[in-house]
Amino acid sequence: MPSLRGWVVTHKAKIEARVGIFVFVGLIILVYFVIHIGDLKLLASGYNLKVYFGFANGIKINAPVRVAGVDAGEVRDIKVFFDPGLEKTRVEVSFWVKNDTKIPKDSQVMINTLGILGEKYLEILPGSDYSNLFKDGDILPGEDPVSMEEIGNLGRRIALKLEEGIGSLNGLLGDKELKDSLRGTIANLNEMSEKINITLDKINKGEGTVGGFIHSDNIYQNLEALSADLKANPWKLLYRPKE
Amino acid sequence: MRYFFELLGEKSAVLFDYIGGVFRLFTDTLLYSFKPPFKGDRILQQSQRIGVDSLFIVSIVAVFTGIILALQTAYQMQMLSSEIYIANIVALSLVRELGPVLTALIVAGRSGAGITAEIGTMTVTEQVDALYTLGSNPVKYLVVPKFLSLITMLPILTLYADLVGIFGGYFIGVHRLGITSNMYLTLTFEALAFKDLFSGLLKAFVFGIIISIVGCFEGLRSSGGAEGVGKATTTSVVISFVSIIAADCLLTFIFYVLGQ
Repeated sequence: MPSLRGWVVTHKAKIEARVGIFVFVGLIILVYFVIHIGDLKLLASGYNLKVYFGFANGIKINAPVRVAGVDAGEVRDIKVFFDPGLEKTRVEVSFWVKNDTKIPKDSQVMINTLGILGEKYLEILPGSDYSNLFKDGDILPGEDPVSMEEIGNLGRRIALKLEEGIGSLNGLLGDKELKDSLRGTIANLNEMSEKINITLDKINKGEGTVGGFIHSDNIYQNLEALSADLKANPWKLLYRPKE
Repeated sequence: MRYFFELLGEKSAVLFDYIGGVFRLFTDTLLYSFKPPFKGDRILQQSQRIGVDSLFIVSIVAVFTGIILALQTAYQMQMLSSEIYIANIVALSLVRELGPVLTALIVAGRSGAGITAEIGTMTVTEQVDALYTLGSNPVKYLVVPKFLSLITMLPILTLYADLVGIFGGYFIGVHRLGITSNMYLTLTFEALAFKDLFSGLLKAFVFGIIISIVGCFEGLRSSGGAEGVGKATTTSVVISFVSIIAADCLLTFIFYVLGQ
C-alpha cells in the first residue's frame, strides 16, 4: 500500500521537523543567554594589581572594581597577613582590571559602599599623571576606609555634645528671671514700635517740623531762591549792612 | 508496642523495596541507553510528545509566573524605592528555581502521568510480558526512549520557560513600572551568571531522570486492571512531585554550599 507508506513517511518527517525546530530554537536561546550573560572576566584580557589596606571593611572576592565610577574589573583574592616592617596586620587585596583601563600612579584606592544593600566595592579615583601608569603585578597604596564603628563612635560623641548644648539651652530658657526680663523687653519693644508707628503716621500726614520738612517744598524754594541770589550777588556773603 | 515495630519494619521494608526497584530500573535504563540498537524513531516520537507538545502550556505558565514575580517584588521594592532590583529578582528566581521546577511539575503532571498510564495499560494487558516473549526487552523498548527524551527535552523546555518568564517580568517592568527597556535587559543579564543558568539546567536534567524513572517504574509494577492503572498513575504523579521538590531542595542546598 504505497499511500499508507507515504503517510507514514510524511508523518515521521513532520515529527522530525518539529522536534528539530524545537531543539534548534532551544539551542538558540541557550546561545543567546550565554552571550548576554558573558561575564567580562572570561572574555576580556586584563592585568592583576594588588593593594594593601589596614582594614578591609568586609569587601568580598568578586566584588566589582570601579575606576572613576565605571566597572572595570573585580576583586580576585583577599589575604590577611602580618607585615613585620610596619608591625601591623594588613590585608592584601588582589584585583583584576581590563587591559584598556589605565591607572596613573597618583591614583587613590579605597573601599566604598554601594546601594542600599551595602555591597562593598573597590573604588579607584584616577590621578592626573598618565605618563606613569601601574603595570601588571604592581602594588597600590590603599586608603583605609572608616569603619562603621568609628563612624558610630563619632556620631555618639556628637550626639552627646548636642545633648549637652540642648540641656544648657533648656536651663537658660527655664530660668524664670530671664523669662520675665525677656518678656519685659519684648513688651517694651512692642510699645516702642507702636509709638514709632504713630510718629511715622504723623510725618506722613505732614504734621510737625519733620513732616513739614518732607512734605512741603517751601524750604526748598526758599533755599533755591537764596542760592540763586547768592550766585548773582556773591558780595552779599561778605557784605554786612551798617547798623 | 510489638505491633508498632512490626508496622514500622513492614513499612520501611516496602520503602526500601521501592527505592531499590527504582534504582535498579535507573541503572538498567542507563545501561540500555548506551547499548545499540538505538530506537531513534521512538525517541523522536517521545520528544515530540514530551517536548514540543508541552511547550505551549509551559510558556503560558512561565509568562504568568514572570508577571506575578515582577508584581509581587514591585510591591515590596516600592517600599524601599528600589524597583531596580525587580529585574534581578525575577531573572534569578526564574533561572535558578522556578523555571526548572515549574517546567518539571507541568511535565510530570502531563507526560509523567501519560507514561505511567501507557506502560501500566501494557502491563495489565500483559503486553509487556508479550514483549519479553518476543525477545525484546521492555526496558530497552519502552523505558529508554522516554528516559532519553525526558532528560534532553526538560532542559530545553526550561530554557524556553526562562526566556518566556523573563519576558513576562520585562513586560511588567517596562510597561507598568516604567523601567526603560534596555535598562531592564542590562540589569537582567548583569544579575545572571553562568552558574545560575547551568545550575537551573542541571536541575531540569535531574528532574527529567526522576519523572521518567518514577513514571516507568509505577507503570511496570501496576496490576489489577483499569483500576490498578488509575492508582498507579496517581501514585506516579504524587511521587514525582514530592521527589522533584525534595531533589530541588537538596540540589539548591548543594549549590548553595558550593557557591560559598
